[in-house]
Amino acid sequence: MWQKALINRLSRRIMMLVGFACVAFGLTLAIAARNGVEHALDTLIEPIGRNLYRIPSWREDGSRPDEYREGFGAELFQQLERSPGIDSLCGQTIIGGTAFFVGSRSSGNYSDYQGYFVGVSAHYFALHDLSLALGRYPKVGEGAVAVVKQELVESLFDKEDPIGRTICIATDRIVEITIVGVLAPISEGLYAMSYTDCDVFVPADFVPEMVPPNPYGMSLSTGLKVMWARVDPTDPGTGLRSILDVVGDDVDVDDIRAWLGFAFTQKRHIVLLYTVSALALLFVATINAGAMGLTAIAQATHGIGIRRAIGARRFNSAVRVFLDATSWAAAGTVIGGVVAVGFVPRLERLLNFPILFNGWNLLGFIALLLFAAIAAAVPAVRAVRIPPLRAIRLTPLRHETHPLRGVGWLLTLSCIVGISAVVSVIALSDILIARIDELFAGVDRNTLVVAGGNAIRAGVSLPDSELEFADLEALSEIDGIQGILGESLVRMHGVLYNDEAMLGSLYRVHQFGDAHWPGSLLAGKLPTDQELASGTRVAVIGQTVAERHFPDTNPVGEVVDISGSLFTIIGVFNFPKSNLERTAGAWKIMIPASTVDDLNGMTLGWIRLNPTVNVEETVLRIRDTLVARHPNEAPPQVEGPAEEMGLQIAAVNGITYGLRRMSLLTLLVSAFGLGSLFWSQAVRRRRQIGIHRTLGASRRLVFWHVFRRSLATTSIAGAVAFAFGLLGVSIMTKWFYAEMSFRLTWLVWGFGSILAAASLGGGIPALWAAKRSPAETIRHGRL
Amino acid sequence: MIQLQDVSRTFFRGSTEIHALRGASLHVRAREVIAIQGPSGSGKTTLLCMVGTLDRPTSGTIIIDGINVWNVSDQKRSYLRARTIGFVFQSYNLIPELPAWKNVALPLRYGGIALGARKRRAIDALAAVGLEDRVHHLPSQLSGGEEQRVAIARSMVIHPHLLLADEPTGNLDSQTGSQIIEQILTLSESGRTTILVVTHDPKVANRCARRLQMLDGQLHEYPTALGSSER
Repeated sequence: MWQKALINRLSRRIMMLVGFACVAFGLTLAIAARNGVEHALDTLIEPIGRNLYRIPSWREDGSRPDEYREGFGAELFQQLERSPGIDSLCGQTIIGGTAFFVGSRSSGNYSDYQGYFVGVSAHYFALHDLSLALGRYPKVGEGAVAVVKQELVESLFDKEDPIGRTICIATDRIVEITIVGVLAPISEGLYAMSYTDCDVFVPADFVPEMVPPNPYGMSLSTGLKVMWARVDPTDPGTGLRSILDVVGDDVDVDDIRAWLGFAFTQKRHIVLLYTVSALALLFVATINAGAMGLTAIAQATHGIGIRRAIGARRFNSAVRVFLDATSWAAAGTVIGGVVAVGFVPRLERLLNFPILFNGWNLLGFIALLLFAAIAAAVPAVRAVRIPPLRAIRLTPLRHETHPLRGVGWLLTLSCIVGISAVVSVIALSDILIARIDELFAGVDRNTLVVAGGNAIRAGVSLPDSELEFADLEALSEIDGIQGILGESLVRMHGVLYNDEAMLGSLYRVHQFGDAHWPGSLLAGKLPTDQELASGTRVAVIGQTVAERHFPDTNPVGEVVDISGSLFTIIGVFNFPKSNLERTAGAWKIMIPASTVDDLNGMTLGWIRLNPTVNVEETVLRIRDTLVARHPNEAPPQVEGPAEEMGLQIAAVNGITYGLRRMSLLTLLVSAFGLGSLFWSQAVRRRRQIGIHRTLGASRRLVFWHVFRRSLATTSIAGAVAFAFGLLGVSIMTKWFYAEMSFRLTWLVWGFGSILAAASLGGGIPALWAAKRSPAETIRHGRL
Repeated sequence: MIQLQDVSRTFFRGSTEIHALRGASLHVRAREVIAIQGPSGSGKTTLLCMVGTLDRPTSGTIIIDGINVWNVSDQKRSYLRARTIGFVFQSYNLIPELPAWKNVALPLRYGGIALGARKRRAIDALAAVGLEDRVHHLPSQLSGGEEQRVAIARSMVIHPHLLLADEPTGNLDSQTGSQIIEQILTLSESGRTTILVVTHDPKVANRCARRLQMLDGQLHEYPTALGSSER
């Protein structure tokens, strides 16, 4: 019995504690993530200063004003350099990509390096804080000299001194350039922009002589494509006015912070989403904390009346209620904050942001306590307005003094927030996943493909490397890798069906860990772990193989002949093609690796990542592991959605794995609030329930009577929330450059949220009401 | 019509056991009018709740019209209450937000009667207790006697086989109380209704054909010596 009493006494307080803990958790992390993104941006900007302006020769929409078709001319450059408020000015030509090499191409004895070059004016290195590791900076008018990046030096010259050495740039002719300096490593870090990330820097006036390939169809013969101006920090307004006076206001001038900030937009948007979710949660929790306090008072009016009758002052009642609610909310806030701090390493990996705490967190904490105080103050004030005489006599309270007045509307509002949070987050993650799927033709977004190294692609003078299944087994041990499907080409022919050769490449496959077959199964099934391990003679064929050789029949169950052994086809699979291999997935015939001994083709691994890992770090670990296993060979190749769209996928994973949980939490907290209200109403009306039961209402009818009110409330809230949710999604899809197309699953989630909120909010009170014995309830309390 | 065999009911208040009924047995024939008397806390209301299928006995069986009421589903038991058992309570137990006619029509609603029919029957029942001009009044707009007459109309409207009245005149002045008792007893005289009345009032008890005494959770015929004619 005492346990029951304890639960009754503590249930609301625990809900308040949990609600505020959730809010503190969400808000602490959201603020800390925001701090991290801002810090990363500041770290990038700090060395070059905040008064650096980028002056491109194009408009915001990318088009070019006619006068700048050839870029900025020397006259304009000099005019701006002399203008008031301009401390320093530099410029750069368009960036071009090509191959750099040393040695003799005609003899085949050469090393090459694929990279980018740019022509720069004086002061470029100083303005961008690019220091030298070796040598000196090139001078304007010096001709064929260059400063190069360290990676190029390591690739082409290994450990030899590069200063004074010559590299060749391959375009439609060979241009020789002498290296005069080597840049120190650029400490850009994980979050840096690659705007200075070129391999070869030559004087801007030498660029026209290089006649490089021109990817943008623009002339490189004259002009600077971008200028960079440092304005006088004591009077930045004059500097900015000078820039606009000289170049006109038709081009897209912005300061370095604004320009680099663009690259952080997606990170900021995710942080913003987390912040909005946390604030939504705060809103819901505050409403619910207040509502719970009010329902507690509504149930305790008799006791309040008696206390007042025997001498308790109004102030005492108010303080008692206020302190009770505030202390539980404050405890929840502290617990949530502590849990959030413990969760930081995990979230850093998930979001790919640094998570940092500062004064904003303290402000957030104080704001939460303030909200808790507001949530507690409303019940406290209402408690003192209850007329003692009515409370003692158990006479129904008038509307204007009833503690629960307006609570239903507030809880409906919190329910709207909860449901719209679920719908919008589900819809947004669906849209982003669809966008990534569209780009990667159905390959799971957390997939990587790994293959042996290719010296030409890597730009190294090392032998190519080949992977083996043992390498894949070693990779499967890396944290964050769920499993690997290894495939190895056996031969391009030699599979017979009805004594006729089949067109298709034979592959042997093996699974390491919890592997995932990328693509989709069109018919039959995939081989089981046991079939793969035990040498069972089964085969899975690609879609084109199936269509070509079994145009009118189902290939599943048919038998093919491979080197005299019979294999049964068990499935047709739509296997994607990786750029790292020659065979298209649709032409593959796959058999368990354990059924054949001979292998001579390249081995490829389809890696399935855990969605909560940092993709970039995992790719590095994969590379390190394979380089260690294949020293003095070309480094391995890694590609796939996870590697190519790291930022987008981090966004999707952040939304899917973090925001979904937060939105469900919001829904849960709002359902708690509804539950508290309906519970309170059911308890207050228990005698009426007894009368209805006495007069013939069945338990089912009583249940439905209570539940339908909850369902009606959540349905109205759900309809409004759905509209709000979709409106939010239509805005957010633009942030991520995606298109919004409606899906039925969102409706299902909407209905599911309504039902979940109704069940949690009304189901438990309805069950409680239905289970009351009529004899017990009819004797109880007021009507 | 009603058979209680060795019915006991034990409540727990904290760790204390309270035996409200201790093996009570009773046989009631159709159209009997029975008064149940006894001191406060002797188990009278508990007995009435048992007969009215409002509460489950801890042990023993209750058979109404040949049906062991605790061997059937809640659905059937609820239907039995809605169609055959009328209740009148000391504190009226009207739903405060429903007008008189809707209060009267409630058991008809639970008995599956259509809206038009139940409104007509509810108004007829109110007219039968002299409240035709109070049909649309809320309980808070009625006097205590009127409220109790609405409660009687509610019990009459289903033409019950069994009417259970728990101190129906307890909250009323003597004149109004007499009128109420007359109206309750009219049910027995004019129809097929069996009536069990719990009362402290000897005048009310004297109007009943059979009187039972409840003492310490056991039933005794009145005024015979305790135990000798227990049924």
